[in-house]
Amino acid sequence: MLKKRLIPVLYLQNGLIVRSEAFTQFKIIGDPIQQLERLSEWQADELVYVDITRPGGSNEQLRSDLKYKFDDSLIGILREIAKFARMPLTFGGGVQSLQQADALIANGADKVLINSAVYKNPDLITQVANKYGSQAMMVGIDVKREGGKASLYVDQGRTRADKDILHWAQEAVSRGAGEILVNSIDRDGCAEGFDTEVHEQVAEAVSVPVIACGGAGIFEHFAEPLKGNVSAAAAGNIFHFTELAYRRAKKYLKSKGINVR
Amino acid sequence: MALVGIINYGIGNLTSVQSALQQIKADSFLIEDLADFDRATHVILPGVGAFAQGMENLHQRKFVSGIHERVVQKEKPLLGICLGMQLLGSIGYEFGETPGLGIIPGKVIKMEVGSLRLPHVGWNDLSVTCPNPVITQDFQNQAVYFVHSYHLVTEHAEDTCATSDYGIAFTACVSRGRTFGAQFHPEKSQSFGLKLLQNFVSL
Repeated sequence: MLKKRLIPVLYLQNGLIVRSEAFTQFKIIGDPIQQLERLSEWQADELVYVDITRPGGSNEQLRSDLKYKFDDSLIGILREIAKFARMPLTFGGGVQSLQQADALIANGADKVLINSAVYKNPDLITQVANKYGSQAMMVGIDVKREGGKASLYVDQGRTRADKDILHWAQEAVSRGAGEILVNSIDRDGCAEGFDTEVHEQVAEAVSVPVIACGGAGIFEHFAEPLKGNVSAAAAGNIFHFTELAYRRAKKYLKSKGINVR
Repeated sequence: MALVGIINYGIGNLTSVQSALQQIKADSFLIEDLADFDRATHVILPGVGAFAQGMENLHQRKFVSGIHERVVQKEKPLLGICLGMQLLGSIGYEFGETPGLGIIPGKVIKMEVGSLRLPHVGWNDLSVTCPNPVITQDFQNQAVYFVHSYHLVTEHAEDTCATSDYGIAFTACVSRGRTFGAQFHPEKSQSFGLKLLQNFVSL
């Protein structure tokens, strides 16, 4: 039987892995390649890298004084990661065009994650899916609760979008999205648990796998979305700060009868 | 000493197959033209994408005859991965009806999984039905990484050497003579994926 996936999400800023909180506060965690060694040892099911470098920022901070030397671009980081990652790799963050998706896939990404750009230009979903197959096109959807109601946001959480979350998820799938990653902005980095209700609603609305992201603080939290219809749960901070969190989370999920690897 | 030729037919990402081979210290190069087939001791047909496009690209480069005459007839070990395994079949039904390489008799059709989600993405267990030197009994119950919506239905049950279960039992690995195929991605399946590649290059 197909396993539920547990996916570490790594946020890259200026070429370094950072911790993210509510999409606005960031703290440097370390070198992406050193992090990869740990994630490989854990036998992580899959990895998602999101570049959150703000426009105008550069990757210059990453220099040869760090353990691994590679060029200053995001592509260079991807190439290094792809050399060692024997698990599926998703890359995203700031992807605006088919050409950028081409570059990510040509340099070792198995899937591209696109969020705001496909909201503004939904045809980009179809372009990527036609060229590489739907499995390579992961659409990111950011949601935020306001007065109890979940709304769709774009531009790294800065702009409220007009479309309804579920309608947009369905449209993305009809245009060729092979997976949907739903990230809860108000749960990001708060460690209070997933917004399971919204993840479950999206999973029920579409026929492709849905990945729940945002809010895992203790590994018990992963059980909530995974008990339902989502195919995977993703998290960033917990895997950086909690000792052996990945393995312990898997062990806990197994003990709760959830089919994980 | 094995020298693995990876067929470059303009489909999908070949670097992960190359780096996986590097990890098991197997030498490899990309097959770019017909003459390259002769340099290889082992040949891998990788691929991500659609069946019709895959065959078209192989035809354009005259690689269909290359695979038949310079690999299969010469009894060189051949490994198809994901779409590469599907192309080993006789006919594909993704975007119309397209003849395949016909090395493993069978048809490639969309998975009928009822209410389950497609694509079938993620880690799923193998059930070894007919072990061979590449897919050994060690692979029994090991989880490997799949991502696909179509599957190869073999005409002869003995060509299927491992299955997996997603609503239905489907063919996860094939073998016939010196030709092998994996519907999953050994290059993305951690230690057991590397083991499969190691077994293959050791033939």
